[in-house]
Amino acid sequence: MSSGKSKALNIIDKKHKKGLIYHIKKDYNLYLMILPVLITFFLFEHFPIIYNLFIGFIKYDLVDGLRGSTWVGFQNFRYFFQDPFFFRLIRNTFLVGTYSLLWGFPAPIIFALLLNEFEDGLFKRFTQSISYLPHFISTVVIVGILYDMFGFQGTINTIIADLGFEKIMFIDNPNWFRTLYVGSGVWRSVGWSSIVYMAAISGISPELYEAAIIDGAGRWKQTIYVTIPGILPSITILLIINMGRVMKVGFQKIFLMYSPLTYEVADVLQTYVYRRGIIGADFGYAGAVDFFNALIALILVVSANQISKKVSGTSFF
Amino acid sequence: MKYNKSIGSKLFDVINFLFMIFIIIIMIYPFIHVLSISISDSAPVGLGEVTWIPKGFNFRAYSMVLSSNAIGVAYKNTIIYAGVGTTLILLLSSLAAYPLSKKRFYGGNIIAFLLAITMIFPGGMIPKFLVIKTLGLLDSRWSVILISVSNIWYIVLIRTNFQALPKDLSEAAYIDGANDWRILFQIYIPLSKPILATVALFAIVSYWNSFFHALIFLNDSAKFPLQMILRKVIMANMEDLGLGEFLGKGNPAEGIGLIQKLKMATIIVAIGPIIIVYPFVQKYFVKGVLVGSVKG
Repeated sequence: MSSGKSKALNIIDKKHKKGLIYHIKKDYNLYLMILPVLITFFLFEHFPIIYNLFIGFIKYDLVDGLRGSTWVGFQNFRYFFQDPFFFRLIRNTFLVGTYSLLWGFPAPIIFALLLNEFEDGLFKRFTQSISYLPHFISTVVIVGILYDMFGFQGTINTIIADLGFEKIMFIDNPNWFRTLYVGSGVWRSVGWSSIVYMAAISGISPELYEAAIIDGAGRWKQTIYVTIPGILPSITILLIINMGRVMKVGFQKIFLMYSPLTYEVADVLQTYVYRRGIIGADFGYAGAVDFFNALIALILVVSANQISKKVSGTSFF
Repeated sequence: MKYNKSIGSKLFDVINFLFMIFIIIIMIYPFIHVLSISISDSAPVGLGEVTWIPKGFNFRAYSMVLSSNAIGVAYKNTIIYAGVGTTLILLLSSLAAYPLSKKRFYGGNIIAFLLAITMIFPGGMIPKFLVIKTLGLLDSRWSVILISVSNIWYIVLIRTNFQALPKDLSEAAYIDGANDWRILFQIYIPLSKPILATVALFAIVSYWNSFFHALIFLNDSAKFPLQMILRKVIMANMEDLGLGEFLGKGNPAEGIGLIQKLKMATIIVAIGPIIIVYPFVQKYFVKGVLVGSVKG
């Protein structure tokens, strides 16, 4: 094709550049198909996001709803920063989130590495299957079992007493709350979270292992110099995602586990949002707290992402 | 990998094996414990003697739980929510995945981006509550059903699957005069049964276990799902369950034991279906996560 002819064709193409209307008419079925999802997403996802942006700046009127509400600027946020619970909420959210990360992040990795040392077979698959099971049990049930096993009459205390020690008050005890929360969290997620790492491990080329063996590396060195570097990208990305979640300690499990006796260590931002907003109907104020929570989480994720970019070159976005 | 293992290496294998046995035990033990308590005699339970072997057999707790009105209603509700919700999810996600898998879908990239944003900025408790309120869905069954339908992950899973189907299929059908609806429902969907099964399973489990949305949206106890009732039972003490009479009469250990048995029996009834079905469908879940996390 001569360049003159292709230039002419390009000019003609640009003149008749197909616009949106043309495409909608041509493929209207496709647009119809995606319409329900667009509607549901807009209603239940995007609309709340938009709401989230300005709900903190409003004093919600219970009678007239949104129409009767007044714009109060940063007043809700100011009240929040002066709230007597402010420090406690931040501290609890931070501690619970950080401990969860500290224990909950390495556990699946170690579990995957240990499991990898087994030859593929019935035992390995059986152990894996069993380890995924807790992930499918609802939080309500898990807390229920937790309360039963660690209660004063529960199994754990029975064992403790049989060993000759004094029974421990685990439930409703501020000193044990975080341990129980994080511990049960690790129990629940170690198996399921290890799936990603197991997949990454299986993606490592066997030639790398062979080369290491030729160089005289034993199993331990193989793990350090082949396996771990092989899964490092997965670890990094997951670490970034999970660091963003440190301050987004979820509502459900805390709510199911806490009581006024443990508010001092257990009350986190999300549970406060629930009490002030859903129960107390002070949507503006609760919205401000919720917005603040989301903002911190966003900052953490972006920071973690940038740090990771600089340090290792891998990043989430 | 064939090589001679040193003594240290063999020792490590033994310890690793024991460690895995330990893991298996702590994963399974709680469930065995719950089951044992639920079928034991009341008195030993109340005295804390039942750890993992049942002592005596007494199914009174089960007859009470299974004949309970509240639990029956809650079970029915959960089945409704899971059934309707999963159907909607399968339908809507497939409908959306199809256009998004087609290159000729003008604006598809923009739409995909808009949908992906929801992963990074989640809506939050208060705004979602207000949206449900504004739509007049507070305390309606639809609130619990619809709130979980917009899930980008299911769409991604199905779209990946559609994109992997050979292009000749749809092109040939097109030439034969079929429109997109027929291609989707008569070709693509039948060929995507495994991934649809995976999505369905994840959705069902998600609805089955859901507690939070029911907690904040529903007031009418006739609409409560299983987890809400479960929560009530677990937190209950003697008076709540109408067993206050036990406090004065007879053996107090029996009373305490019966309470525990009721709680455990309710738990078993709630997680029973999941545990029974789990071994058969477990592989779908794992595959789904692998595909989803790679593409996500």
